[in-house]
Amino acid sequence: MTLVFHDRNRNPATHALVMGVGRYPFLEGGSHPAPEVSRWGLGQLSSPPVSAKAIADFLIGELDNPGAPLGSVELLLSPSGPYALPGGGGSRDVEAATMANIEVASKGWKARCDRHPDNVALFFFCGHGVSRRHLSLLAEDFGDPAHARVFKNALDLEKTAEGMGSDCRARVQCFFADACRSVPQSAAMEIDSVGLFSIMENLRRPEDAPLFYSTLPKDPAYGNAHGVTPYTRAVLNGFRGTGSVYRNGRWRVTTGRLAEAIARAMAAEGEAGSAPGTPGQRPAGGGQGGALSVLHTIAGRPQVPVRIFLQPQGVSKKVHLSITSKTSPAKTVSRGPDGCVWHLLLDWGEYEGSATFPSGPPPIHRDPRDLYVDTPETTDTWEL
Amino acid sequence: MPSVSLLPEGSGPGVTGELVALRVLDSSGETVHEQGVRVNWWTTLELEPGGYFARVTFPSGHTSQSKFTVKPEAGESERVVIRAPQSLHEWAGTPTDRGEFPPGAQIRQGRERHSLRSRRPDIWMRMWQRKPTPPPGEPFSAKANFAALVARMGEIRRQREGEEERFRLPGSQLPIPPKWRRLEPKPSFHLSQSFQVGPWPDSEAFYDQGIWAFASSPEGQVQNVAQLGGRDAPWRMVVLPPSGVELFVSTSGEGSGGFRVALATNIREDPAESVLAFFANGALDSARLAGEALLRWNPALFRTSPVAVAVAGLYLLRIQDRNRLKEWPGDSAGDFWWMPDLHVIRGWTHLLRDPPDREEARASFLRGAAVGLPVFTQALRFLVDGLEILEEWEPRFETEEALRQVGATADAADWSQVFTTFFGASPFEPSATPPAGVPLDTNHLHFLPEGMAQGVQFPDLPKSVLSRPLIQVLPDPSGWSVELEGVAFAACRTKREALDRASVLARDEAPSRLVIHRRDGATQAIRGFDPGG
Repeated sequence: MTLVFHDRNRNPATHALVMGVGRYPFLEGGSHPAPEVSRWGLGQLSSPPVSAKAIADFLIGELDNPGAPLGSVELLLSPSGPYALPGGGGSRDVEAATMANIEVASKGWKARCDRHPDNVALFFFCGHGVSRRHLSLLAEDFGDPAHARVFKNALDLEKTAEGMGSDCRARVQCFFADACRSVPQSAAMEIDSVGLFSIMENLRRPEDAPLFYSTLPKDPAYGNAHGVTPYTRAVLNGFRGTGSVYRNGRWRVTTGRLAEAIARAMAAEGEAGSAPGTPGQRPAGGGQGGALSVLHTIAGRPQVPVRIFLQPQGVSKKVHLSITSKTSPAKTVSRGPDGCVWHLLLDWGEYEGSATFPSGPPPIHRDPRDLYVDTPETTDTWEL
Repeated sequence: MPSVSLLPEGSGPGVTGELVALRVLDSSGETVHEQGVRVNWWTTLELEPGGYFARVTFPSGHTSQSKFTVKPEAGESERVVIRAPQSLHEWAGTPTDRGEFPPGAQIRQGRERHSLRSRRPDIWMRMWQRKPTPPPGEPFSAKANFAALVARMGEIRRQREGEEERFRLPGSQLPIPPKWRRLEPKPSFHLSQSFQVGPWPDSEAFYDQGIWAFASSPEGQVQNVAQLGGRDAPWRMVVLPPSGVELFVSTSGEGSGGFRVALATNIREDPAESVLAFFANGALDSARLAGEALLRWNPALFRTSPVAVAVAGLYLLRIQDRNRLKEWPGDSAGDFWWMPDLHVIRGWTHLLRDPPDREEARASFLRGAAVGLPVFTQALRFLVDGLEILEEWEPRFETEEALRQVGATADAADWSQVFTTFFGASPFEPSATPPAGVPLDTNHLHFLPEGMAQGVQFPDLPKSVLSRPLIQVLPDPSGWSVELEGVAFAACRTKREALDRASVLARDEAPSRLVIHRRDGATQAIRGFDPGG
């Protein structure tokens, strides 16, 4: 069973297709490595199933879109296995993300999305990707030597999005691809994957159809072993608040703000310095649309990542800093002497910061300064 | 109602007029006003009395903010300045604001990692130029010249068919493998083959702490493609817009091959490409504000600036605004027939009609491809997408041929850039695995330090160091290949055989450099060959 959540009564609704592919039997390290593809440097992955489950958890447990509440979540995982529904809702067996299963699941997903023009379609894939002109997302059984075409078990993301847009009434169609877009030398001339849907002649297109890529073309994407990938974490943080804007009395996550939040989160991670061997990963956008569609609303104020750069660097290791919220009740966070960047996670709002040099003598108190914390992130430089 | 004047302040003249996104929030966080505004231009708003925050988002995604209060008493409007993140180089503010160069603070913090003083005297550049032939008849009539184009395509197809016959082994139906066909001259319809290396245009040059800037005003109808490379830097091409332009080259140590290239138009009233910079950086919401500001700008801009016309069209395509696309000013901009991007946009306006006008769309895309290389990366993307859709609906030889050539550029493109940037040996030889090193033909070749106006001398390096030809052993779908300066030299079944061929070639070409790749494309070893060595 792949439909881990389905509420037939909701119309319009949000319908999601979520895939996390970590097991590739025909790639390097797999159970049946195929000579043709096992030397491409593509091996087994541990983070895609975890990332896909995290997305499904969020959708089922937290998504709140009054205009299109959650209607269905179709989940495919490799390796397949049980999926524990959030909130103690029991467990469902999830099928593997083989090409045959993806084709069946995607047809059902498209049909559900097509039922109402105000539906929201969400597509999320985490796993291996190979890019030439388009991004090919690799299904579990990619490279199966039983097929003459190496890329038979892969799907062309852009053609899938174009085909979906041309033949599905849902006005909002978002595609998230957390996958490499690099070009293995050996694969460069053979990439002939096709879209999941045909592009219809009328070229009807949805109002808002952004493509959210985890990385730039030709660049790799990275994951954390057995953890959620940095990109998926940025997507989730975007949904949970950093991608929101306050309009008409509610914090609303829109397609445009979500894209900005993801981009800033990944940029901040890159600026902070990446782990050795993993250069900064820069997400990219594609598709079309007005970027104004609401995907989710947030109860309360969003939490915003804050970075405060302290100048000069040497002095910053001697200073004691504190930030106090100007709202009631006031809340203070502080830290002792440390490095030159102070990373914080604060509720949206207005704050007052202060700096003290306790080692004196005598202690120096700098004038307090205002800090306005706003989505998608806030940075400030304090000259001490 | 009281008013307030807001000024997003840039750090130098390079950013004046740049489009940025302004949002004004009240004390509850509600966005009370948002619009695209221009850097170093005042914008006046009427607001209810109260406390507000103004937040400006730059194309890089960086933000600056300022708090202000609007007082109830009428009088002189409040003036609020919102300062941009500082660039290390005042005159290089534009690429910094767009996120193409790191901000000054970041460069300073990483001083040890990124050398500010260039240690890259080997970085060279040259200019490829091409003057497109004006099509007969109505410049923007899609059918004009189309018959001639199709006739030429038919001629090529017949040549190709003849070629296929030649490529069959005598008495056999088996074709000769394509890799061997490289040895034969191949008839082709190279849309961009008429590019030639020309003199570097007259330009002002600036240099400061590792960044060079070249400002020039190319002639509109001549398409200029700047090519840059270095001893270890893959050769890349940047398509220059048909307007005043500043080419920035940074040797900050990051980026492919150890240097970065950025481009900005320097027409102060027309920094339209900021809109595309927002898109390139994933800032969709801010791109919308900047794009709307562009469309509201002085209508005269669209009569004089092909760049503004193109960006406006690309913006409307990105947001899928079919209604406003019908009024897109490019339809009346016949004077700019030589700007490929405009044909691409026009093709999409036909494709998005209900029902789509396939023939007009196809003709526009083909004309766009024939006129030259799209100036903007976004236009290149739309051109490839449009041709692919037409091919899927109804395969035709001319579309397939155009797609083959444009697609080769797309395959080698750096999609993160605003202006079309791609790798390869020349504008008509794009390659995802481009050559590195210094071209053997040094005609019109300029080494970066030679362009400096401020007295930094080009080191007296022996020519043998700079001009070592590059020989590569590369994996191939059917084995291994040997390339000399990006041109196929030999196809081999085994790596051993390829290494032997490459070593002989490297000795013959000495002084030369041999780069051996692994099967996954990674560099395995680099060997230098000196004469007599």
